[in-house]
Amino acid sequence: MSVVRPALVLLGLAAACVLGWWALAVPGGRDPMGVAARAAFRSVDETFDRWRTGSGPDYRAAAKEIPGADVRRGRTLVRTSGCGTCHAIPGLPGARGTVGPSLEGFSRRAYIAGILPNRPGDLVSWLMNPPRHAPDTAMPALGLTEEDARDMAAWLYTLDGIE
Amino acid sequence: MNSTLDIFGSQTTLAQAGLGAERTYALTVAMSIAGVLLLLLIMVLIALAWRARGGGRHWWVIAGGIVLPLVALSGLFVASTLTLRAIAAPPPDDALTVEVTGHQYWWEIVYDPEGRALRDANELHLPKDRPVRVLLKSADVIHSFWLPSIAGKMDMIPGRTNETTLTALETGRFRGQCAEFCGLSHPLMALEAVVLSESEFHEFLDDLEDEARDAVTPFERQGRDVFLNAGCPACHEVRGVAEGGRLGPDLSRVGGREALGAGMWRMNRGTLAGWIADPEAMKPGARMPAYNHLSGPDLRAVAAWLESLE
Repeated sequence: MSVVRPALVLLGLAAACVLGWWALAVPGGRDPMGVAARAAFRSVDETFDRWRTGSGPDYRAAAKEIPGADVRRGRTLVRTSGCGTCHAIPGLPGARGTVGPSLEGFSRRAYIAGILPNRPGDLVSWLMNPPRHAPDTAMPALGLTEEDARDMAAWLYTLDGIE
Repeated sequence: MNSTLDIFGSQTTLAQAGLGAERTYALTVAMSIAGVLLLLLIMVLIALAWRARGGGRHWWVIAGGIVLPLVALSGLFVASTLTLRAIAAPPPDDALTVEVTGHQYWWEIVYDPEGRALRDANELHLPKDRPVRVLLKSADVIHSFWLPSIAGKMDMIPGRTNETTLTALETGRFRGQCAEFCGLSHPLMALEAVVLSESEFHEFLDDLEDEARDAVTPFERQGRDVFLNAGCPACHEVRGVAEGGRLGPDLSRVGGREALGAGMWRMNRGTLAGWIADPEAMKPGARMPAYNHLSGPDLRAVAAWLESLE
């Protein structure tokens, strides 16, 4: 029973602090304390909002950006090169290959072929010459130009697994 | 737009590049115009009959009910018979003969079967402006041979040889399609007609007589050895390398074809590797077994060698 009284006192003090702070921070108050509190609140609020809605700078997308690449041309190249004969690719008719891994959600995959970090430079280099990075791979070098590979990589990064 | 059709160009009766397609299209236009005119005439007659109720005029019945159909149907009958005669006329005796055999799901092509017997698959080469006698056969089920831009379709029936004449009038590539349901991958059984000028066509035939291109790079030689050791020659022939395999398409100039899998994918070492590793995924029901026991580099090598055979 000896802890009840100090606990009640501490609770009362805490309540008084919160109430006092709230009273000082009410809208329209001119006191410096209230202004500071509102600013702090707003900042917390905005951070919370950004976290909740996911807006604001999207660093994940920015990391996958390939400047100057033509996404539409990339899609056409992926289709006409016949990537779908080995890979299942969502959104490409007839691309239901089971020889290599499915490319569903490819932009969120951490590693290319379990070897290279999945980032633009490495992906372009991989597409141009897979055996250079993985001598035992079954994926052949198709003789793509760097421009072709950049466009294809840009389209592959639109595969985020969200249909 | 999303099909493979736009890779390989037209497959339509509305763009004619052959005698059969041209005459059939002309007949279609003539019949459509005649049909519309007849419909209008009958509408006018009904309107007249509605206004002039009362009987006694028998000549209307005779003219509209007997004479008009007799004239119209006879006209159309003559037009379609003339078209048929033009299309089905046998080619001159010295015309080239090509034998096309339907398989599940590809086309075996033999130029001059009684003479030089030049074997190829899935790409039918034709000379421009020259009638060609085409013998149609089937190795398994009923298929139908159809090149819409060049001529009408004709069935390929097991145990029987059908004959048709193709006269291509324009150079270019024209896509065809098996037009009779023949199994799981029937929609994936396409054909390409390549119309060449007379001299190019004879050059092509002469190439078909030569041995396949030699493997040059060490990687190509590795691929050729993989081909020989993995048992591919049991079904596939490559002239000068492995002869006698007749169950699958002749591969002597496989890399020179525009398409892989009977008109389905663009030919490159990637699609070749994918096909070899798992034909069933690309073409359900295909007879070829999956060669996915090859190591990655062996698979790439054999694909690279096949691509080099032009």
